[in-house]
Amino acid sequence: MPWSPMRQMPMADSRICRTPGRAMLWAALVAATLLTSGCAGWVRDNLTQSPTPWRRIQPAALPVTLPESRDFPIVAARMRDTGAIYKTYTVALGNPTTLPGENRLTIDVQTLPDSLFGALVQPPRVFPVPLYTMETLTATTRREFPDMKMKVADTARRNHYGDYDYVTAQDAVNSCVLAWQLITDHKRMLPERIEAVRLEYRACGVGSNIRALLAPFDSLTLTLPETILEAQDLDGM
Amino acid sequence: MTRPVLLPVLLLAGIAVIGGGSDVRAQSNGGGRALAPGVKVEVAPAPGSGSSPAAGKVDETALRYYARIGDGERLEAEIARLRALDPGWEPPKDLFAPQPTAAGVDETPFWTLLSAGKVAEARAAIAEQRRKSPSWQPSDKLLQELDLAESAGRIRSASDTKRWQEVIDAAAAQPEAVACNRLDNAWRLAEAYAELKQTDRAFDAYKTIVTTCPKAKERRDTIFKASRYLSPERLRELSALGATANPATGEDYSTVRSAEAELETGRLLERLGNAKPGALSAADLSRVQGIVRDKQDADGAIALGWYFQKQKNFTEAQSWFSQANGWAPSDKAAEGLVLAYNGMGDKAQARAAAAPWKGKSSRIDQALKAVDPPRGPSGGGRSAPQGPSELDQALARHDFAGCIAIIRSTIARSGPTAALLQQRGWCLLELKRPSEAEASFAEAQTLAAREPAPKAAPAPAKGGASTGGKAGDRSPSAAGLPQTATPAQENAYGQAIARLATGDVTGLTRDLPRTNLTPAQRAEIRASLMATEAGRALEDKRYRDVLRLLDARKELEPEPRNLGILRGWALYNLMRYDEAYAQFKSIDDRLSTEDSREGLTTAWKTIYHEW
Amino acid sequence: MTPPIGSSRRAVLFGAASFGLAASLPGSLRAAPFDAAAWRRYAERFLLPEGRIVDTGNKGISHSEGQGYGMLLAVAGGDRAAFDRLWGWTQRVLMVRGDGLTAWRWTPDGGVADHNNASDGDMLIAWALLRAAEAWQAEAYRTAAIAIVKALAAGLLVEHAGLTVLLPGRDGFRKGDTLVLNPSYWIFPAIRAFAALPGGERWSKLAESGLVLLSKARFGSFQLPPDWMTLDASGTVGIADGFKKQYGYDAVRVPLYLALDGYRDPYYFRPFATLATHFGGKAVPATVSLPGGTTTQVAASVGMLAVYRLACRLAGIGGGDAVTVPPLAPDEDYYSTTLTHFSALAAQSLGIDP
Repeated sequence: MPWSPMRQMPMADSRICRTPGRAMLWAALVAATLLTSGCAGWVRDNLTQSPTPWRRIQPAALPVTLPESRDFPIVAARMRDTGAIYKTYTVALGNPTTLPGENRLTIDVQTLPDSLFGALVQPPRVFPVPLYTMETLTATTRREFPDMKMKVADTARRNHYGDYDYVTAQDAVNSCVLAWQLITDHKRMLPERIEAVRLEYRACGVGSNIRALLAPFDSLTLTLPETILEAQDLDGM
Repeated sequence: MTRPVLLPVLLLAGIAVIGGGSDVRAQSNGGGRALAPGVKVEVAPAPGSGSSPAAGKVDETALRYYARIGDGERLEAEIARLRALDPGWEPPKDLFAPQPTAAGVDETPFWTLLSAGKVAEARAAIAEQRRKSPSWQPSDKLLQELDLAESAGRIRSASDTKRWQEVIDAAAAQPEAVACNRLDNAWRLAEAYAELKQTDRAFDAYKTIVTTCPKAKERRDTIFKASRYLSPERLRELSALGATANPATGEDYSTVRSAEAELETGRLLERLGNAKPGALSAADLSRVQGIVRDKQDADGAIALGWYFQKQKNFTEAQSWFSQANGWAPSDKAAEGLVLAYNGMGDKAQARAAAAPWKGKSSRIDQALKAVDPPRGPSGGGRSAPQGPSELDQALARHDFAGCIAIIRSTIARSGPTAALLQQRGWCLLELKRPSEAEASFAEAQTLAAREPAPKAAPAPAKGGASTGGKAGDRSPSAAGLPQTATPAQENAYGQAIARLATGDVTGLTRDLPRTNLTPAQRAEIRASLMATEAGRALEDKRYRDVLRLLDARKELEPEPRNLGILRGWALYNLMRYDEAYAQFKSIDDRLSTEDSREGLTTAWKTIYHEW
Repeated sequence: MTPPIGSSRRAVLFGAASFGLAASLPGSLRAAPFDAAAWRRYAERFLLPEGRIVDTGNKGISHSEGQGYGMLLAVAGGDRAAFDRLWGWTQRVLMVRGDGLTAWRWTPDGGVADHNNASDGDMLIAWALLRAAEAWQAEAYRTAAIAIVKALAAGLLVEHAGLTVLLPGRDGFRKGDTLVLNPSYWIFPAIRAFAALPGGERWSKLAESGLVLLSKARFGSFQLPPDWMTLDASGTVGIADGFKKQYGYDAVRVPLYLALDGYRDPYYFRPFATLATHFGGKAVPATVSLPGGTTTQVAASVGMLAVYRLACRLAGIGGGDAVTVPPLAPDEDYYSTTLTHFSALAAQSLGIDP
């Protein structure tokens, strides 16, 4: 069998004009076709291992409770599965700025396979560990917050589920944050069947109050069917 | 087993030979040019050019092997090589007869493993044989081939894992592995130098390739490879050298010279697309204008049009859009033309430019709104003669952040209208905020249902907006009438596009039959769904499905470039390499980009086993 | 002492050592032959009365590998009493797993310290038992050997990526679909002996795979095998994580075992010979990091140098005296001494040295 390199589908030609109408279809298509065509593959059992399309869910069906927020209301909620292992939820939040890009909270839940088959045929992990390297973080923030001034927070913050890290981005008018967290504490927090939970939060707002931007992430509560306990000694928060 | 002094002898021998096939000529031209200190490009026609025949006796092992497996091309090359070594030598007459070999060991199994790429297995089998027959030695030719194959593997794996110094070490340890007939190794070596910031050596390596390897195609590919690392000046030098140095008969090197220009265009056009006004130097700008004119590249002309449009240089923008429309009429070109005329204040011309597409292309209909803004009844009775509104100007500038800021303040001042919310939806889509866009279209729809039917609605009102999204399927448009979208249909269309952008493919597919859309809008959405589905199919490695979906999509709309490339990969993965090559080639010939080139190179190398 | 019985030349030479036929030449150009006297000196230093070989370089612990080496040298030295003591201790103390394999590590303070087995130790013991059965015509040894070989085949031989490979231990060497392997656990002469037993075909395949893997497992500028390597489902070989990423004390045995089995293809000995000659055949570093090539300050021991001399000869690099092997020091440690003797046996069996 010939060797074929891993490939990425090309992004749509950058010269395609961006006006309402047809061009938007390209944006959608590009989002859906960041593909790899795989290695000379006849790997049929891969079929069940790639992510399902996104499907919309009611906000009530999300495994997270967010505080009521005027600036960041829940606009839409979606989820998808990757194999039998991963469930990914994404919550689009309101964006009070005129900046491009959606505010959102993404939750990946990695469960342990409940069958031998599931254990043998595992999909590739949907998030990398470590979640970011300096390089991937730089690339991500450049994409998320083009033309803004970036700063990686020196110290982590804590929410109900322990420490998390974040980046801030600012321009003359707005501020944005990108925060991420990997929960793997099986001693206290996670139930037996959940291997890990990954959270990523992106929010832009008007003004320069970073704390206000992080408030939803600081106070969110995970509500999976099996209880996730909160990290200890957070009372002082 | 040792190979003393023979390499220089061989190189000399190579230089002594003139004539014969182009391969031999290449050898005479190139024999052993230094790619770098310690590393030479051995321009040899046949594998294993460094073999050492026993004194006075030509090593015919490989020759007999090629004869036995019927590989005519390599057989001929080997004959040429052996003649070069010993001009008095004649191919044996019993070439095709079975040959008893020294010490009773038949090398065929080892050669078979080797040609199947099973180098380690061949090594293992030889070691086992040598254990059993200590007096036997494998032929030098076989060992040489194994060394070369291993070096190539080492170069490849070191370069795949970005261990650049090891790439150079491996090439230095086995200089024969870097040759025109092993071009991939030579490219990887050059890349390693470049990655280690030894730019001069990288340049020398590329230069050696484009001046010694005879095939125009290879020289051209080399220039594209080099474009990742070298400055435009050096690329120009490389192209000039590649187009002239050591020409082989029957090769057309004009494509080598044009490679550099293509790269330049691609680079400049890309910068045009992203450029802030004035970001391109005058020289660059005039360069790209010249190239676009030369190639009558409509896409390039459109890019230039937008570049000037963003600078509010509407006259210049108009001339490029017009040029594009002349070369290849399209709604994309017409859209620019409409907005450019509008920017110049020439609404009549703007409407005229829109005329051929009006009602057929949503982007034209959208652009027309900047020319003749739709007035909602609660819009405040603002009168038009003052020229385009603030919002229209923002739209004509493609300033979508401005668009939502203006709409926000307008709504804060005088309340929402369906038209404002709909426009807000489009602008949010542009800002890649599809969830909010969808909500905005939905709000617009709800509001429209409460608003009185618009007086100046561009659609033949048929119960119109008040029926919301439900009437559509029961009131098909009268045949022959150009169907313009009603506001309700526009809203539904906006929502559908937003859902596509959020990846809600399943839901959209389910809801599409019940959605109120014009036939053109419906076809467009269906085509996009199929494209998305084709993308997923490729991801799932359902390559036949990819082709099935793309074929179906093609009946609705012409296939754009990136789906053409997707089609190419599907064909490639179905091992329909010739078709994949033809597909990539047809795309690359129109406009060569990194994606098209990668497809082309991959398919080509697979067909010719050049990995 | 019983004369050696066996058909292969190697077996004859292996056994011939027990007669002390080889003249001991002065100087270091030639390996001291392994003979009965050499065995006695070895036993005095490393064999305790209860029947265990002490790893003097490792805080006096004992392990299955040492027992195996000791048993093999006892056969070669023609010392059945010592052999029986070694085998007895091995059975009593190490064969406590219940699956016919040996626990690999024993410490004077804590007894069996790790119940996992080490496949090379099991192989050495089984091979020694087969040799003993042959040398002393004792069927009981053979029966015991066959039991170990069967246990190894059942638990440690696996097919992966189209190759038959040997897991280094029962537990802990599978990471997903990637295996962690040790190239120096391919004890080729032992594998050949196992392949000759009834139903031994899988062992033949193991030997073939070993040669294939040793051709693939070449890293860094010297193209050396790592002490621990990975083999993924596609047959790609890598340097194992979780171990020191190096060529060193384990992998130095690769050329030794090849030579002991009569392999003489220079290709397989070249990496080791290149390393040794690169350092002038003298202060050869004990380890080389892979793929980077950083070397330690610690120099190769006498035993390792003996292996390098053998490798240089078989690779045809640097002539016969490319490597200077000093005589064994009075306090030379267990591993170095063992490697020295096995190098001598290999050279003898290949006809390189008397």
